[in-house]
Amino acid sequence: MSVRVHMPPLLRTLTGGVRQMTAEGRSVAEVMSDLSKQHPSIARHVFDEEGHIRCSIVFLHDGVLVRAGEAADHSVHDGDEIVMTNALSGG
Amino acid sequence: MSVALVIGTKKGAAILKSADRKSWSENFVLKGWAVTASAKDDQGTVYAAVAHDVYGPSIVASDDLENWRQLEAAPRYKPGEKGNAEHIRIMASGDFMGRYKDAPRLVDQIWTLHFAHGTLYAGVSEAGLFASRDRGKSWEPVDGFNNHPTRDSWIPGFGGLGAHTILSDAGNPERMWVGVSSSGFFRTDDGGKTWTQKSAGVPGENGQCVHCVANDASDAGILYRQEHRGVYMSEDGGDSWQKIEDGLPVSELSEGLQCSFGFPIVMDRRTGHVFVVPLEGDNFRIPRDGKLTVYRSQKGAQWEPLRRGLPENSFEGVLRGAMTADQLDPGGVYFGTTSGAIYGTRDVGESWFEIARGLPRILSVEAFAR
Repeated sequence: MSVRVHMPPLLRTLTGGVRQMTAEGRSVAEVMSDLSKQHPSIARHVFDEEGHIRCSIVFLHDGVLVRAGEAADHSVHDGDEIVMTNALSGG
Repeated sequence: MSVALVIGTKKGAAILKSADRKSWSENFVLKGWAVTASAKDDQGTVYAAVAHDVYGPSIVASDDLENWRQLEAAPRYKPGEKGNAEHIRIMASGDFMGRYKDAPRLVDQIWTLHFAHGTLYAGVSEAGLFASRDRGKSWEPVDGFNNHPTRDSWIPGFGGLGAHTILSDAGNPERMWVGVSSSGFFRTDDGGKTWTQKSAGVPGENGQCVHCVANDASDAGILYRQEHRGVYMSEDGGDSWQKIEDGLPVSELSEGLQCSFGFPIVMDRRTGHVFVVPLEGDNFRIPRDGKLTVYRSQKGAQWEPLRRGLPENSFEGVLRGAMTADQLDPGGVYFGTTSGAIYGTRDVGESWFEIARGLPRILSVEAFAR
């Protein structure tokens, strides 16, 4: 499945300013894993040492909120869009 | 005699440059990243530790302080290593789904960077020490420290369990010191294989809460220590410590102890002057009566207050990494506050001047003279 991923502004400094990237996978987690293989500089910012997606990252998959802990079980389809963002917080 | 200051803030770094230490240029870089530490190697490359509450830590480097590149690697624990449950509870407030309930050992922040004997060292939180012998391309854990026999008894401080101070000995690459909040101050004499707690003479009934330690690497055995419970000096590499608070204001801590509380301690190596910024105890953590004051001592003798040029009515703190010296002649000392102001002196503390204000909360300050 080929999915478009919208990168958060902070991480675009590591992708040469590219806002959208394309990656393959059957779930949100697989897409993020493929994206990290394509761009190793963002891998450590997406996955922790245990291989988990960092706990305060959240995704919008075609408008549906997907928490980091749900990303492995959340299926995606060809042509879908994922917005990578972070949990709301102040300060 | 030009100086560049790398001011690490909660939301980026201010690069302040001056040819005369009077007029300064300012450039804000690494926007959005907390810049927790910086260090320069022997080829002039400056490294900065960055972190983000959501996206975690990494290390960036620059040869000109303008263009920064993320290093290929950064300190990381191995998957499956057991962490400190209390630290995880403090640091993983965003763990909504309880995935860290088994307390894995994770690097959430790089507290300090230190270059010595051709090696770049990183002190991290959850407390650990890592070394890079290829200028950041790869990192190895210092297992003798990270798996210290007493580790299970280490207690996190208010900011978690962090290794925040690394000191070296220019004449002895086998000897180093590492400070951990709030577990103590450790020394190795065998290149990192074994580490011994060095806190004899420093009270530590509820955890050994070392805040910051300074030395001159060329006379490394003389150490100055700002502890939660006062200010101390060692003349034997940390084997024994003596309180040095003559002239310092003291405050009552929660536990009743009267001592001088603060965070940074900095040394002007050329003159042997030591600088601290006392705060009004661990309950208040602000300058007494709103008078932001630096205190100076020569080699641990009588401390004297230095206030000329510093603000009245100032209720800002100075964090442990937010003060440094440029080691020029005469000595320059610089510190940043939790309210985003930078102050400096170019006469070893006799007078102070404001260099910048309006920055985010200042976490780290380093001076690189050229």
